Amino acid sequence: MREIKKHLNYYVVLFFVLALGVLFFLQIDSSSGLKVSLLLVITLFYIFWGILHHSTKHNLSLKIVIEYILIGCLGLVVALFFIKG
Amino acid sequence: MFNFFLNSVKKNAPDVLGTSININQEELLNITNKNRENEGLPTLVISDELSKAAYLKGLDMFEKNYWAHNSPIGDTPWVFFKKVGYDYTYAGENLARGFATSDDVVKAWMQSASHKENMLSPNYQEVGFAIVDGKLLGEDTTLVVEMFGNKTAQVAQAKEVNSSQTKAVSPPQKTTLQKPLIASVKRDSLINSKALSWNLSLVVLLAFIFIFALDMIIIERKKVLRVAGHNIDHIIYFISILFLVLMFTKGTIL
Repeated sequence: MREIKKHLNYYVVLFFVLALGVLFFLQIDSSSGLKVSLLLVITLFYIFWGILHHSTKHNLSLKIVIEYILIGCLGLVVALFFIKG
Repeated sequence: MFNFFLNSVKKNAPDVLGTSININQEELLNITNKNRENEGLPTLVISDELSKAAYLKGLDMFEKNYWAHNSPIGDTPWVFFKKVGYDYTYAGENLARGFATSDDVVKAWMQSASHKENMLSPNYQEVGFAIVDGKLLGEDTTLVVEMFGNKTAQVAQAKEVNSSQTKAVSPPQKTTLQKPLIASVKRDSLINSKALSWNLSLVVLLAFIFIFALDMIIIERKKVLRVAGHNIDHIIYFISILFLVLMFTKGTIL
């Protein structure tokens, strides 16, 4: 809880942008290409936002960058597996 | 890798792992009529001519590779009514693709205002369905075409129905249909690939959300200092993907 209070603004922005992305995704009717692109945008925002946040807090390291990229890739793979499955 | 493996199994052993689909004309008609009866409307009867028109429309969509009411060369749905010689005063069209059951198709149409308007219109007396399998826009899919019509003179002077899929025009010329009509598509596999991908996605996402949440609690309680990404970030991201998986329906209507 301390963690949430400490970075509340940052989490709120992340939550709203991702929620907006998901809502927009669900509105797309047929174009599979557009869906994949939007999924990519959602993931890239998550990675960018995480890295930016750590960068402003001056605790950014290569390990953290890799962590965000790997988790982003995992989410992307799971979503694509579901969409194409 | 896992996806590649599943796709290989799907290709080589569709009876073991594949998409289970069960859509047929009789069920579509029954569910449509049940909805009409609930609204106190007269039931629709199957018209072979409309079913032929729907089938021609389905074939045209696969041949010209489009997902729309009007073809890329500008043919409207009413062209197919004309092709089978259906002389109508009112006509309408609903389209669906990517659904697994007749019930899912009708449910999706009933949840859309314009499609619902077609399904519950008192102006129609007949309906025709075509369920056609093929590759559309790079995806293997089952297309459902529903065409409504009314030939009677009683409503001939009534006004045009205001709907994107509905229109009334002048009498057409009749032509004969060469290909056989498909009234149902039924494919059974031992393992339904859609259900499998859905369940696996859910398990993976929930497992990661649980692990990140547990890790966050332990780190906070034990006051461990760690240089790492924020677990809440990861949880929010995975919850977003989870929502997407939970709310995403593969079928679309038009």
